[in-house]
Amino acid sequence: MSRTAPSGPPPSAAAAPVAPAPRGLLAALGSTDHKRIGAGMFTTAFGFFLAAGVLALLMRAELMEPGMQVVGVERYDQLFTLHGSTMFYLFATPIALAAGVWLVPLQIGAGRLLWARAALCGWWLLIAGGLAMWLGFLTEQGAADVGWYSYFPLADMPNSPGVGTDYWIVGVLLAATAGIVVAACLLATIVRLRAPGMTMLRLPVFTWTEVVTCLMVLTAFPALVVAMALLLAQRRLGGVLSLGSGSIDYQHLFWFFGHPVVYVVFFPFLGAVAEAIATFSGRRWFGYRPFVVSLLAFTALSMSVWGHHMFTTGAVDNRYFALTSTALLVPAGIEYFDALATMWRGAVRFNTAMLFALGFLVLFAIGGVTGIWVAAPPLDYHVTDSYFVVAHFHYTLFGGSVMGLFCAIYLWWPKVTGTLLSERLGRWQFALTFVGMNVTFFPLFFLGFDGMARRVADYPAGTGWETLNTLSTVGSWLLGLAIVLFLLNVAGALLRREPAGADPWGGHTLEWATSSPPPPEGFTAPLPPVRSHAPLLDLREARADGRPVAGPLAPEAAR
Amino acid sequence: MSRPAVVFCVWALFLAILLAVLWTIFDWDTLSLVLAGAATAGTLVLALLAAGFGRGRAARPARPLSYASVGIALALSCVLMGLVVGAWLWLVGCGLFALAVAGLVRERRT
Repeated sequence: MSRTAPSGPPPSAAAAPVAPAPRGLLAALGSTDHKRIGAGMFTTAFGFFLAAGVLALLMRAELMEPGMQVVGVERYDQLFTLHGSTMFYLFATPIALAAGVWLVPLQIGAGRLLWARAALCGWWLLIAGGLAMWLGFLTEQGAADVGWYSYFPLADMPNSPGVGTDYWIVGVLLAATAGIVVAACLLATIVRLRAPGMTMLRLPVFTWTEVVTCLMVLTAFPALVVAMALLLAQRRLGGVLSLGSGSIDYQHLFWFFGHPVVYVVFFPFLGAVAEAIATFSGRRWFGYRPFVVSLLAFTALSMSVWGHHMFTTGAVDNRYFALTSTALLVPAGIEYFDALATMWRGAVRFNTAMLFALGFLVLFAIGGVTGIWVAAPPLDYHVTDSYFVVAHFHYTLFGGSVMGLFCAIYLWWPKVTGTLLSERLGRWQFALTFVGMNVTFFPLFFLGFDGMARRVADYPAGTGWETLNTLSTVGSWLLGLAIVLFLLNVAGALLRREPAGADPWGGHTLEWATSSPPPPEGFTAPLPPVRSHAPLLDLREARADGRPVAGPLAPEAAR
Repeated sequence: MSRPAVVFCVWALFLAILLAVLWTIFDWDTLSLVLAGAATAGTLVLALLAAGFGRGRAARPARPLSYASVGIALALSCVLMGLVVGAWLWLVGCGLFALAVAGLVRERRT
């Protein structure tokens, strides 16, 4: 990290001044500014998160006690299908990419997104996909009720005749295409528009997590597109998946996407947590290079574990997929070690973003450890299709992605809006989320281990499952309350408009070098020199030591 | 490992190692190998593209507004929904697509 880089605006920004941003709603909906596209995608995805959350509350209300009280059996099937589908296809994946669309061009000093028109198109494909998926609720036979995986032959026309399933397939196709398009734009931006001095080994940690996320999207999502196209053809024409081993082939295609997507919706938030831990510990991220290698290894492994979702089919070699799934512990361990070592002897500030980062570490650890259980075929045979699996993946997805998402929101909200969220409300939200998360999902481990099947609307009385189910439902109310607090916090911040300043936290990366919110062109002042993945920290340290803050450009630094 | 193409190659290498382990040591089925092989090959194609693109030779920034891009997304959505809803929506989608492409060409010229 001894090479020096020039100060000055990025070449793309210097060569092509950007016109003043058009104003108004129509302008926001058709803008090619990466910040508007990112914010639009983020808001759209968060809207779907709220909608899917309402479905979850309805499901938990139904399961509070034995018997059918709230919805019918068919409607319950539609609820869990749309809950899972919305969370994966319309919320978690798009919001992970949206954060990248907003932040990455600033973190790499580009100030703009390459192929911004395509990214704008991707946002609208996402909106259309979401509407198509939810349109099923307006049809006579209701929305899709085949689960977010829509296994064949369950999802074939004779078994699921409603047109809602067709709309759902089209929605998934559109949302998957949106993901591929946006990931391509992000990756191309990182390849072509990095500022002088910003070599790949000087990319901020968050940007690195977006790099590996985009690689996974570009290599895994096409399998989903193929699977959905085959399923639609099977439903409309027949004779596609019903030939030979179609049902197993479909599962291969689906899970080749279905496992990497778990990491697609996880890694960007791991990046956000890493940025928050480094910033609020006042220390450089520990073990940057091993972290980068572990990210590459982790994501490559995640492309090779899909068969553990098919242990009970008997159609895959369980030994291979058990080995690769268990091996995930190694890169995950490196990342945890880096996080703890960054905090070690740091001047840790426990504000809301940091609390969510710590919550992420604790809850994801539970999800990870129970992941090792289900990576072992004998244990997986016992708990497959039970609430144990539901608990496990909610600890990874809610404990990981959603805690990480709120960490990201509290960290970058001042940069995006130029205002400050209330720390007091934020802490209450964190406490409710942390407690609510554990009260909702921890009992499900016991219920699943005891044999309570998932995707079933009812359970028999007298099994001893009533108390744990009631507890879980109460937990879901706490989570709902936490989200209400967050929405109040957002509304309050937008009404108060307390100025945040350009860099309220003492950030390490280039987005904190511009105003809050940034101007359309991203940067107006010359960029600081880029000598590491934390250029602003370098600058502060150099100033504190009385060293010169800029140096001559070494030829290799310009690559 | 400072260039994106090298990074993509490293990732492809990891994928190739995992593919080789499956192929040589364990029982495999054709589709598993095809999927893992396609991901590896796809990543190598990305590496080639990244090596060809280089850095800093990007096209000029897009115009601040692009309703034609929105039109393309809506047209694609209509075409796909038309497969389920009926030929009329499919045809509307095709028409909208033609209009949006024309708009895109006009945007790029001005």
